Amino acid sequence: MSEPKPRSEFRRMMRKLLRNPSAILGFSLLAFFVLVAIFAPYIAEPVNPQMLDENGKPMRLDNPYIMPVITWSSEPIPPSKEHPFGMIQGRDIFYGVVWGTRTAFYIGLTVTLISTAVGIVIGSISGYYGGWIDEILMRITDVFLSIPFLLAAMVLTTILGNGLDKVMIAMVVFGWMGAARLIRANILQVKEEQFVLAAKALGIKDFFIILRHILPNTIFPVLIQASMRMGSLVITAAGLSFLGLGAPLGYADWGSMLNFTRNWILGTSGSSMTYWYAVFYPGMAMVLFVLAWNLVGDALRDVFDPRLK
Amino acid sequence: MNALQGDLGWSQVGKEPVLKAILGRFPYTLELALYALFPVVGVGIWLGVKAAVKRDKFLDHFIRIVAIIGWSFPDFVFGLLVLMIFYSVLGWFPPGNLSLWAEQIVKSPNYLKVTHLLTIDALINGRFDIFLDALRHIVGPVITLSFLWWAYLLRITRSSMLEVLSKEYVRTARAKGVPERDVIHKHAKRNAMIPVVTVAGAMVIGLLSGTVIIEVIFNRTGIGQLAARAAVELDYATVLGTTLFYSIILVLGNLIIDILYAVFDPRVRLS
Amino acid sequence: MEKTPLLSVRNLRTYFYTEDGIVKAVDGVDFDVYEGETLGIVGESGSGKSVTSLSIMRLLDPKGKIEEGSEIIFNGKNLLSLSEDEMRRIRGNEIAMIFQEPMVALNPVFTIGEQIMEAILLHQDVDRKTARHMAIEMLKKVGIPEPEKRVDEYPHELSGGMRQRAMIAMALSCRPKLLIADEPTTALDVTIQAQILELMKELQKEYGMAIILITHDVGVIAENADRVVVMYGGKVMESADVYTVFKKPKHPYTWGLLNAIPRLDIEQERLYSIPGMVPDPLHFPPGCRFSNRCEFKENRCEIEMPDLAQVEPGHMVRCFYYKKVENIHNSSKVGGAK
Repeated sequence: MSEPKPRSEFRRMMRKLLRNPSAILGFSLLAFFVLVAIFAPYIAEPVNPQMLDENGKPMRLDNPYIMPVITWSSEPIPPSKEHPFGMIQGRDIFYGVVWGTRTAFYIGLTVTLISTAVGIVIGSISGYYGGWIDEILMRITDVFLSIPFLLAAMVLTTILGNGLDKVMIAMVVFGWMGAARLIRANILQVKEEQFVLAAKALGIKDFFIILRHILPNTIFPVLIQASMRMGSLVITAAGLSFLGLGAPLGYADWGSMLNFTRNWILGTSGSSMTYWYAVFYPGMAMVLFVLAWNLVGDALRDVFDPRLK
Repeated sequence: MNALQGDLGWSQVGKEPVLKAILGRFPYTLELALYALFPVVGVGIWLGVKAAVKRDKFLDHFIRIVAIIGWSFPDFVFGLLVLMIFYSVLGWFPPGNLSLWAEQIVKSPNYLKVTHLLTIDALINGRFDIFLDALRHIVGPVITLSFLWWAYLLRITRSSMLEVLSKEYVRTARAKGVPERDVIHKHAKRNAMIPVVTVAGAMVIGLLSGTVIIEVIFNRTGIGQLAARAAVELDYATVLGTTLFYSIILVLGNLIIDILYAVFDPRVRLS
Repeated sequence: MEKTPLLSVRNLRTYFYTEDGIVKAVDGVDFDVYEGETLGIVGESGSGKSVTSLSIMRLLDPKGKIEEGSEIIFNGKNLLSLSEDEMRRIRGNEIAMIFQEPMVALNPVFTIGEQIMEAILLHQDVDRKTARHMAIEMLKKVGIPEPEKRVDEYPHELSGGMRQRAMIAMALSCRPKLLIADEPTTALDVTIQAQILELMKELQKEYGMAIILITHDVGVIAENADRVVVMYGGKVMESADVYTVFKKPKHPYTWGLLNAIPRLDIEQERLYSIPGMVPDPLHFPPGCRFSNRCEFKENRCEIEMPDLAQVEPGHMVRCFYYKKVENIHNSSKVGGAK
C-alpha cells in the first residue's frame, strides 16, 4: 500500500480549505440545501388544502413530488402571506422550490454516482489491461465525447420516451467518459509504481490489485471531478425539463416550473415585470444550487489536487 | 443507407424533408454562433490573462467570482432574465428573427440572398434598416450564449496563464530585460494559448448545444429550435437528422482546432 | 593592491513570506566579485544559493522580499535602489543569467534566432537584419554547427547540449560584464558538461567578464572557480580562494562536503556523508545553523551563531572551533571515513 497521507498534511489542507472564503460560502450553501431537502415535509407540508379528509383537515398527498393544484387560475398570482413566492399554473411556487431541492439532489447524486461508477469500471479495465482492450474502449469513449451532450440526451429521450427517469438514463449513458479517462490516466501512472509491481509479483489476482491497491490511490481526483460535474448535470437535467422532455408538468422540479413561466415572462402590456417572481424564485434556487457545487468542487480541487487546475 | 445519399426522411415538425428543413434553418443558427464566438473568445481570453497577472489581487477575485456565478447560471434562466429585462422592460431586443415589416421585405423575390445570414445579406442589399433590425433581434441570444462560455474560457485561460507564468522560460525572458508587458503578452500568452485551443472543442460543443435552448427562448427559427420541437413531439427522423448534422459540424470544428493547434505549437508542426 | 569589486553584496537578506511563516532563504550574505574572475557559490539545495542569484537580478517571485539594509552594489550603483525600468536595462545587458534546465529555460514557441535577437534588439541600437547577423555570429561562437540553419529552428529541435549553448549565446549576445550561471551543467551528460564549462571559460577570457558559478557540484567548482563561497542555511559558512578551500578547509561543513567526494588517490572503505539532512528552513536550529549536523559541535554552537571571521588574509570562516578541523589536517590527510 502507498503511504497514507500524514495527519498533519491532512490538517494543513483542511486549514487551507477553511481559510478559503469561497469554499466556506459553497459549503454553507450546500448545507442549507441539504437541510431544506431533509426537512422538506416540515417546511412545505405535503397536503392539498383544497381537499379535506373526514376530520376536516387537509388531505395528505399520495406523491409529495406532484405539486398540488390549489387554484384553477392558470395566471400567476403574486406573493402573499400564505404563498410567499406566489403561484403559477395554480400551484404554489414555494412548495415547488422546496420539494424541487429533493429532486435536484436526487437527479444530481444518482446520475453522478452511477455514471462515475460506470466510468471507473471502464477506465479501470482500459488502464489496467491496456493493449487492444484499451484501444477499443478509448475509441468508444472518443465517439461518445464527440456527440453534443444535450442533443444526445434528446435523441435518447425521444427513443425511450419523455420522463425524468429517461432523462437520467440518457445522462448516465452520455456522462461516464470524463471519469473513465481520468481513472485510466491515473492507473497508467500508478501501475508502474513499486507496490503494484510487488503485488503482481506475489501473484495476487488482477481484480484484487485494482480494488485494493490502485483505486484507493486514484479515487480522489475522480470524486473531485464528480463534484465539479454535479452543477452542470443539474443544469442539463433542468434544461431538458424546461424543453418539456424531462419531468412531467406539475412535478416539483425547478426546470419544469420555469417551463410554465415561459408563457408569462413577457408580462402584461403596460407593466412588464408583473410576473418577476415566477422566474426569480425557481431560477435563483437553481443558480444557488449549482453555484454551491461549483464553489465546493473548485475549492476541493485547489486544495487537494493542484494538478487538475 | 438512405442517410448516406442525403435522404434523412420526412420531418413531421418541419413539414418538409429533414435535410431541407435543416439546411433552410442552419443560417440562423450559424449567425448566432458566429456572433457569440467573438465576444466569448475576445473577452474570455482578455479577462483570463488579466486575472492571472493580478493573481490574488482584488481584480482577480472579482473576475473569478463573476465568472463562477456566470458559469453557475443555467442558460435558460439567464435567457429568460435577458428577455425580461431587455425586451419586456427596456424594449430594446425583441425575440424572433426579424420584425414583421423586415420579414416581408426579406421574403420578397427581388431581395438578394447571398449568404443567407440576415445581417450580412441586409448589408449586401444596402438595407441598413434591415441590418439594424436583424442586429436588434440577435443581441439577446448572443448575450445569453456568450455569457456562459466566456466564464468557461476565462477560467481555462487564467489557470493556463498561471502555469506558464511560473515556467522558467518566462524567467529567462525577464532575465534578458524584456519589459513586463512583452513578457506577458508575447512570451507567456503565446504558450498559454496552447491548452486553451485544446478545450476549444468542448466549447464548440457547448455553443452548439446552447443554441437549442436559446433558440427556443428567443423564438429564433434555427436548427436548435427545430430539434427541440421534434424531440418534444417524438419526431425521430428530425431529431436524428439534426443530431447527425450537429456532429458533422463538430467534426469540422475539431479539424479547424487541430489546424489552430499546429499554428500555436511548433512542436506539433513537425510530427 | 586594492581592487574595487565589480559586484559587492552586503548583508543580503531575502525572506519569503509564506502561509506557514517567514522563510529566511538568504540571511545576511556578503561577498565580492571582481572583474574577470569566476566566483563559485557552492551548497546543497536549500542553502540559498539560487535565491542569492535571483536577488541580484531582482527576479524573485512575489512572495520573496529583499529586506531593508541589504545592498547589492554593481559598478558603483546599488541595484536595490534602481527603478524597475533602470533594472530592466541592466538585465541581459550588463548582467546576464543562464539557468539549469536548457529544456525549459528556452521559450518553446519562438525560434532560437528570435530569442537571441530579442535580447540584442532590446539593448542595442541595431536593426533586425544586423541583429540576425549578430545572432548567427553568436551561435557560431558558442560552437553550434550550421548556425545559419539553426537560427531558424525551435528549441525542441536541438539537443540538450546545443540548447545550453544557445542559452549561452543569448546571455552573451550583449557582452555582459557579469554572467550568473545557476547550475549550468547539472541537467547535462558528463561529457557535455565538460564541453560547456570549457566554452564558458574560453568566452570569459575573450570577453573579460566575471562569472558567478552556482552549483552543488564541488568538482565543477574545483575546476572552474577562482574563489569559492560555501553557503549553508542562507548564510556564508566559508569563503576563500579555490586552492585554500580545497586544500585547507576550516569549516566543518566544507570539510564534510569535500570528504563526500569519491577520491581515487586515497583508499577509503566507505564514502563519507554528512549526517542528517538539510533542515527545513522554517526550523533551523538555534545558534549555528549547521550545529545539528556538525561533528565538532560544542554546547556553545547550539546557543550562539558565530560571526564570519577572517582567519587568515582572504579566508573567512563562520565557526568557533575551526581549529578542530585544522588539527585533523595536521594529524592525517584523510578525513571522515569512520
